Amino acid sequence: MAATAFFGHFFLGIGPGIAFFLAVIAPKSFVVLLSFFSAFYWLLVLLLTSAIFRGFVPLPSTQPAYAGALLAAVAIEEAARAGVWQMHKRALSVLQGMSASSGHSFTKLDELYLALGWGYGHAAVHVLFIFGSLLPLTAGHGTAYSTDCPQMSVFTVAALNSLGLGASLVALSVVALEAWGRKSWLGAAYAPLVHAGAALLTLGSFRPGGCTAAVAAQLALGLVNTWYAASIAWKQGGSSSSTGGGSTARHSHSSGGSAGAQPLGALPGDGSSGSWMAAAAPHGGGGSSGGAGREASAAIVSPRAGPPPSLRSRGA
Amino acid sequence: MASAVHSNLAAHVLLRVWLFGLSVHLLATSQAVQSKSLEDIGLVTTVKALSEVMYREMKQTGGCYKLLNATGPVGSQGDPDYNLDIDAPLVHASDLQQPLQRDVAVLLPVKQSVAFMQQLQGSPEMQQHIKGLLFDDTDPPASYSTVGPFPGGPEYAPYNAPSYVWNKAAGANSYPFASSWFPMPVFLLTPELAADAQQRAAYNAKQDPTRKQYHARMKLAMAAATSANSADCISQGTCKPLGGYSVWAALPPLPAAAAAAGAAGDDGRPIILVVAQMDSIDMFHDSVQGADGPLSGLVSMLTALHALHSSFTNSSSSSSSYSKRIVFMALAGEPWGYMGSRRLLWEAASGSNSTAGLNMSLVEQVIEVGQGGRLTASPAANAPLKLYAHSQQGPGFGNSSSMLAALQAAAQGEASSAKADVLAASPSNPGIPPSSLMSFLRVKPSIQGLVLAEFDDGFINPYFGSRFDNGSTVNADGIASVAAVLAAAVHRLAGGEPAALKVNMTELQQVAASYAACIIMPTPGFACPTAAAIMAPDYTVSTGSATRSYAPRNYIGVLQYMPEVQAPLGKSNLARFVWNLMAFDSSDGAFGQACDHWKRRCQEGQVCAGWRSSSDEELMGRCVNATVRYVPSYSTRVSCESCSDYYTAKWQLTDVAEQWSQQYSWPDDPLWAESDWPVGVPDLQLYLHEAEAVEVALLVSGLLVTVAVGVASLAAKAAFHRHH
Repeated sequence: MAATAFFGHFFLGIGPGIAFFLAVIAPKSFVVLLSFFSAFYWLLVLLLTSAIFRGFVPLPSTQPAYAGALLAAVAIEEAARAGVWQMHKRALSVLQGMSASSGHSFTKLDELYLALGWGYGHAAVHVLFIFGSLLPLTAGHGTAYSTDCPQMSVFTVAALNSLGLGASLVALSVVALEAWGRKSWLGAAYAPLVHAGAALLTLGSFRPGGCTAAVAAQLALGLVNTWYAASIAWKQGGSSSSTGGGSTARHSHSSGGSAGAQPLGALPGDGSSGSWMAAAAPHGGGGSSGGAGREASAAIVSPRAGPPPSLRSRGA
Repeated sequence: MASAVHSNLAAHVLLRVWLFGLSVHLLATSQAVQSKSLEDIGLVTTVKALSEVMYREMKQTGGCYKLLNATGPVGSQGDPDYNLDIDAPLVHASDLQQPLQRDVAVLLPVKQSVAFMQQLQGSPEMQQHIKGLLFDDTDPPASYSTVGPFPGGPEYAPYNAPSYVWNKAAGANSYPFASSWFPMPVFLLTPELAADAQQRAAYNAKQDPTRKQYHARMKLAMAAATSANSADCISQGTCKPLGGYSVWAALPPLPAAAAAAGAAGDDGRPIILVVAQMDSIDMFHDSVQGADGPLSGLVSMLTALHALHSSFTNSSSSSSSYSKRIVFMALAGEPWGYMGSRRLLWEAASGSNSTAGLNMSLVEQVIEVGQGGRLTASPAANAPLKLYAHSQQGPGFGNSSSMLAALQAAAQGEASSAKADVLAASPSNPGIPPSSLMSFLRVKPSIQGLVLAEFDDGFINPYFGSRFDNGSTVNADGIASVAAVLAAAVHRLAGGEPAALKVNMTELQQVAASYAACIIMPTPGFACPTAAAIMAPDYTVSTGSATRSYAPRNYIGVLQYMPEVQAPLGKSNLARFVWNLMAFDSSDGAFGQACDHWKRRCQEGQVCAGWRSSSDEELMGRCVNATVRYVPSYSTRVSCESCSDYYTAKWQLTDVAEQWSQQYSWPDDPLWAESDWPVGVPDLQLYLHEAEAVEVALLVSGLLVTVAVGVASLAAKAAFHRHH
């Protein structure tokens, strides 16, 4: 039954992330790359946090000590989110310029994909750290229960917590980047607060029998955050990208001038085939006309060695 | 070099990330398993620690291994397939509900073990459902033994009294191990694991068996699983014969010419044999003790030899003035059908090099030093210790009255400071107690023989032949008293001037205590100063620990191969300890050149004593004028081809000693052998087993959630694309 336990926990803790990746991330090669970069970035952040924590372990076995450590970790990560915003902002600026020069549109949907990429990398690293390190143990014959949680095993708690927290982290990335783009400081505060709340929520498992409620709350929080992020993104639907609000973005936008505005208006009705992201994707087709210069620009952002076939054929 | 540095750095960084990841996980999930009940390891901070919480393990020790003799198997075994562990929920013996409805592993307190094992032997239903036995020694009974009422077997006795009870512990609480076979793995838990198992069994007792339960997972695969007896397994090469090395030394040493390999004669002095046994028995070989029986006798004998040596060193006399030769002999393997004495007598009869100079026709007297570790003063202050001299009465047997007289005179004379009385054992006894003397009387009944022991009509040791006969039960001062009396008596019997022997009881008590610390006590064991000064002891390192253990292992073990018989290679710590002590104490005290056993050998008539290493002159041995020999101890029914090499050694059956055995009406040679087993055996795990329904529910839930998230993601994606 070791295989049953292993795959049960695998599908519970990691399976949904893989399903989301296959359904949403994988078709967009640029977002795949961005997810990997994001994961690397968050890995470095966690490494830094690790180095700091090495000076304090072992922690006293008290809830305040754990809460302090959790909040410190969250604080470091949320500070690092500012770095994500800077890179996101710069990427938006460059991509908007490129899309403008290549005759493609850069939509809110594309921006949402980028935010998902950043969030997915963050969540993936967390899930791997929180749960992936424990997964090999589920391949054994035994299980482990903590004294205060007779309802479910350590591994089940970890799987469900990683599921809930993973969903929250993807959603919080969307929420945070959208809020930073609007310079809505109230909205920007949502991510740190909810992240800290989600972390502290897990302390509920220390209460005898409290793990059921804590895990359920974690999952519920993941659902709520996902719904909230989706609703924000939905409301932004239909509009063209304007969140690259920094000076660089404005400069880029202005440098594009009317040449940049024209392709946006010339997009076909189906956004999935007409957006910049679709053009950069391996299977993306369509797009508007372009010359040799546009082909070169597209080739930079394409994961392939050469430009997308559609652009190559047009340029030929 | 640079790439290696980078590789190490990368590994270090990854390790830190890994550690951090786990600590974050444990914090974020609040799954720090704390020391509250079953999992007594404190806060879990690493994957390894969590794994250790999940699986309490006992590796490479504690098994009741499969032995085989000429008639069948003894002991226990697990699944013959190494890859198939036996797994069953843990149930305390007190919680077993008859009839058994399911497979279980039974936690068996030693106090209940005798009755339980008798019931198990007679119940096919219990044998079917009980998949393993885990012995818990936490609360030892008042008496316990794994040998029968007549240890060794009445068939070896020179009298017919098969129902006589020498081992009184056997009547109360014993299970004769040598006739027990259990078709399921049997383990002896360490004290820590036993305490843990008690909690786990108590937890299981309160739970519905269909829910999560603590299980025992056992690996005790034996290579000789299908062999019916020892002859089979030796032929198949799946077992090795039990065996070790006996040691003897002559005082005074044999003349150089007589001591040469293959020499038949010597200077014609009659021989007094002083005999002690070296090893004991228990159903769990790793836990064999034998402190009182027989090691107290061995310590007495070695201390007596020291007393003689010390007396000669401090006076102008020497052992060369003796009219008789005293041969001190430590016999290995006696609990296994008197294997050591039988083999030695066969080797002597067949003219083996290892017994060269030990002419049995010259042996006149034998004193066996038996159990003496429980000698304590009577309640009345200054009351003497009581030693009993057992002799074999009857026509044809030598008259040992002169020996008894010498012992009594010694106890009252030069060894009076030992405060011991030597009494003749009760005439109502059927004869001598179970002892090696039986073997010598079988081959030469005219020998005058005595067994010197702490008991009269039966053993006073309630733990004879069990793992509870440990160092906490013996009294080194009593052992020293036996040694003083023994030394003075053999000095007289050998023709020494009684007044010439100076007995210093204080010194002997210190010597006996130091020897006992080496060969009886688990700590220091062979890390004791005495052993460290004369040998390089082997040690074991337990799994998961860097701590070296020099604890004596008083189970004889098996003979894998036989390198050069008179060199230390392949000899146990105890055999080498005895050999080196005897070499120094039977010598004239003069140290010769530095030596080893291979290149810088000593000249004829000398031995290399105290060798520890050849790489350092200081640690090399010194040539001393002594006669001391190892004698292999193993069944007379086996021989070994190409036995000097570990990889080519091949054991096979032989009938070369058959005629000799028949000549002296020896009982059939039991041909004891021990099964081989693969690396990784034995292994015992105690762990929490999840209910199968929960695991299936988890798998179904996981699949459903994964599919649901995938479908929802696709739907949402489509909706967003339409919306945008």
